[in-house]
Amino acid sequence: MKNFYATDHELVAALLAGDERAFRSFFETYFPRLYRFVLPRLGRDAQASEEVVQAALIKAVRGLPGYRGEAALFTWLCQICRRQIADYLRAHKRYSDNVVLIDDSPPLRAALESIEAPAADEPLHHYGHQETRRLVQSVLDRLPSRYGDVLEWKYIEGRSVEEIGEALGIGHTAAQSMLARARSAFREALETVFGSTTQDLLASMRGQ
Amino acid sequence: MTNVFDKHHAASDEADIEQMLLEVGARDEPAPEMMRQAQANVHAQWRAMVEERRRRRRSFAWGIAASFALAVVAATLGLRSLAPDVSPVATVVQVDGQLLASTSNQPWTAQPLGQQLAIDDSLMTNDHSRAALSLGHLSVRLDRNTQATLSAPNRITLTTGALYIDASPEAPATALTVQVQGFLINHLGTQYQVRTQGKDIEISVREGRVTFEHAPPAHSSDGEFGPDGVGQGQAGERIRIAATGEISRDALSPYAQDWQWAAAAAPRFDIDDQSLSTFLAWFARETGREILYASPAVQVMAGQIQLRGSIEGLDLDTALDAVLATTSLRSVQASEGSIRISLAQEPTP
Repeated sequence: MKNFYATDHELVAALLAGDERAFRSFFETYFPRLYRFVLPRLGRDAQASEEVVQAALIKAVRGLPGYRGEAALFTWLCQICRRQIADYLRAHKRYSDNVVLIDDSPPLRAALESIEAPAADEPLHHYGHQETRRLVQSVLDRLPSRYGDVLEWKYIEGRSVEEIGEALGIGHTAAQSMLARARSAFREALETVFGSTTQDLLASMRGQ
Repeated sequence: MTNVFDKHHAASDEADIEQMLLEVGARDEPAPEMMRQAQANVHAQWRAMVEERRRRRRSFAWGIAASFALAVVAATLGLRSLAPDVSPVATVVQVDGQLLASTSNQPWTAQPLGQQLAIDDSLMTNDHSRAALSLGHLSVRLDRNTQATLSAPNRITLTTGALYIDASPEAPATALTVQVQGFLINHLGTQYQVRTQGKDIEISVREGRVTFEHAPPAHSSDGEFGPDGVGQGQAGERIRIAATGEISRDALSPYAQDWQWAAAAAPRFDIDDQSLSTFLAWFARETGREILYASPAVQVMAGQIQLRGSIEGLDLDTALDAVLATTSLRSVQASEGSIRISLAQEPTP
């Protein structure tokens, strides 16, 4: 589906106006991202994660009139998810399963959020392979627009530029241009979060 | 103009990104069926929100015309509205477990966070639930197994269980009266709790003062009530009023076990973008413990440190440790009722 909304403000304004396309774009963009945000925090319990994300999104749509745009929409949604996770753990008395992730540490959280609102942050590095893998996936989720999806479609699923354009409802040239912007945003985001180039990070993951 | 080097660089860059993505693999995707179901549920709530906004806008437009007409009629006839007050008086700000509410003998329904409550709403918690309400400057918390009714804009009737009232210093003394078993309890800028013990009442005062009187006020000859029929409780006192009318008092520190349930039911404190000193003041109010700064410089520093992150799911002591760990300050238990904040490298006295 084409992403018709260049900014979070535009998307929220369309949602408040009752635009069905905006709702589909909102849900299809953020449900999978929030699911991936919650999943590791609930011990990879898929059903619990779905329950928490659904509850968080319900809270979010009810609270949309109060969204002021002071934080990126995804950051705002993550904040609601954090509260929902705490409620879920408390209600289910699963304190022992409360997972504290490295990306919940203040510096890394700030760096991840800075992908949406660039700022000067100290580079972060020296994580284990699994942590790095998950953080790179978090970076994909934090990229603006649907850059994360575009990159995954192209380089993991092997879709052609035409197929990507079709999925997004845009032409070949626009899809190619979006892919180039997505690569550039991804490279810059990795450097912000890890403080190293894609090549160095790859070498470090492979233990070179 | 691109040259051969640029093209080669771009191709190599793209290859690195491809290798990186293949190395980390595809991200987890929710199951399509799960996503469809969630989409339907969220969509229904979203439509409800949109419709509610439209309805309010229509009501507002009509309301301008209607209120003008009403004003004319009211001014002419000098009538006062006799309609019952259904405007919200409280908001649910924290639920641990389930908070049920019912109006006019309607079925009990679970109240979500943010739900607004009106006069005549009865509230109930079970044996594993607690909740907190916001009433203007007041925080009202319901312990487990509590039943209470919002009987007037400034009155809660406690049937059974316990209520904790935290009135911020700016709350007027008449902000809230708790009615319980024939008594009216008023605060004078304070934190206190009222608990039923069978047919007896227990009033504990953590800070400030409370007054209590019979409803309707009546004089007593046992010396506990003043000449105006009003008794008083001071900070650090627990007053037991037996069903027989006998009153006894004992001491209760502001950090005693009896207050811990109220801290557990406290509304979430969002530390994001708050200063450390604001967080410490909140911590002190919720735990009843005093914060002592090692020096004026430390106090100034605490006011300048801006916090980021979340203390969701952490108990208060763990939250304090977690927050201070991100700063150059630390805490030491100075006495049972106080905590000393000092520089991390400063020797403890």
